[in-house]
Amino acid sequence: MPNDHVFNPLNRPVYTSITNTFTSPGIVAPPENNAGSTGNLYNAGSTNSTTLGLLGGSVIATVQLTNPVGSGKNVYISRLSGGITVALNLLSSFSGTMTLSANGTLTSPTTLTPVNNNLSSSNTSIATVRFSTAAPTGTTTLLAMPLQVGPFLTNELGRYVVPPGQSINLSVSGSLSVGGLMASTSYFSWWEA
Amino acid sequence: MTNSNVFNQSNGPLYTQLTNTFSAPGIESTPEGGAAAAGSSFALTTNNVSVGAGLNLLLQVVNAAGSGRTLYVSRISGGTTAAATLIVYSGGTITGGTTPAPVNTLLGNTNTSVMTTRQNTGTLTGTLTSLLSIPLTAGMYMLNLNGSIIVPPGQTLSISAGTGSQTASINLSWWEF
Repeated sequence: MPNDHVFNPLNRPVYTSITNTFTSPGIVAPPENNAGSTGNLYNAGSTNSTTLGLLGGSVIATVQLTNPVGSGKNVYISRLSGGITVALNLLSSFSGTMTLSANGTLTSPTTLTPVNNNLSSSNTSIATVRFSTAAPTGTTTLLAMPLQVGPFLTNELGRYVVPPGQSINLSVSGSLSVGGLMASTSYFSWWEA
Repeated sequence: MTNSNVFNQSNGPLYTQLTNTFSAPGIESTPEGGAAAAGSSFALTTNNVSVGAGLNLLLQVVNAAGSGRTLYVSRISGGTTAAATLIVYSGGTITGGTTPAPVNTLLGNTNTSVMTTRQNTGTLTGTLTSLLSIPLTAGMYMLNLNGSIIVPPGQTLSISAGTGSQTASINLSWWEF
């Protein structure tokens, strides 16, 4: 007569109690850790640095990450980062925003090459990354906020998933009402699986 | 005679020790990551709104009685262009305004949220209880709540940022099941 399954009936799980202590903790890590060590974690973005004329204007950095139809993988957003730099004496005439959005179209885009975060990996990203110095059009907004001058960095841990045929945009915009040198920066970090 | 289940007692657990190290860590994700991959994570934004003097930017999600789902707040984020106060309330009424649509963060996924929303500028009215009150300076704010505020059916969550005059935004991220 065969034995029953002693372990693991779905409705009768094995109750466990972890005995690790602070002197020998079990080590766990987020998906980025394993995606990085296996060469599936990527990074791309750029800066738009512009000298504005007497009447000021906007300096925009938009990076668009597109997962092509038929790629066979999903893109999981790991991190958004970037920021705005401007001379301190111009702060009173400054305003800034950050917008994360889905799909839509870029104006006059250039192509960025994703960098593999595992510096020895020869894996290449399935994603198409484009950069524009204008805001994207026809998007669905996921997140919007005013920014002050300085850096921002938000860890997303796969909170946004981009399946094949979808795009995600990170757009950072700084504006001055007087002339000055201003730079806006947008970066995505993501893993593919 | 078949074997009994040997280890299956909640008061007599199997003692285990995780042997994972930094070179071979166990990989764990978050509820947010799992919910997003399953199409159960949603993002709601007010966008950047001009808020008049003495007014607050208000955003609300209502989980209707009988919806069959519970909302778990993942994150409240946004920004202001001047000093303000961010207050999170249980309950409250927003009169008028708009009903911004939650977006599924598994992009293109057709699962829709069962929550209804409302956004306006003004002052929150009705019966409400303050859960959280945070002073803000100009710039972005980000509160990772990781499911620590829960909105079951029949409950309302309201968020207020203000007062103006300034530009402000509120972004609410949650999962529901």
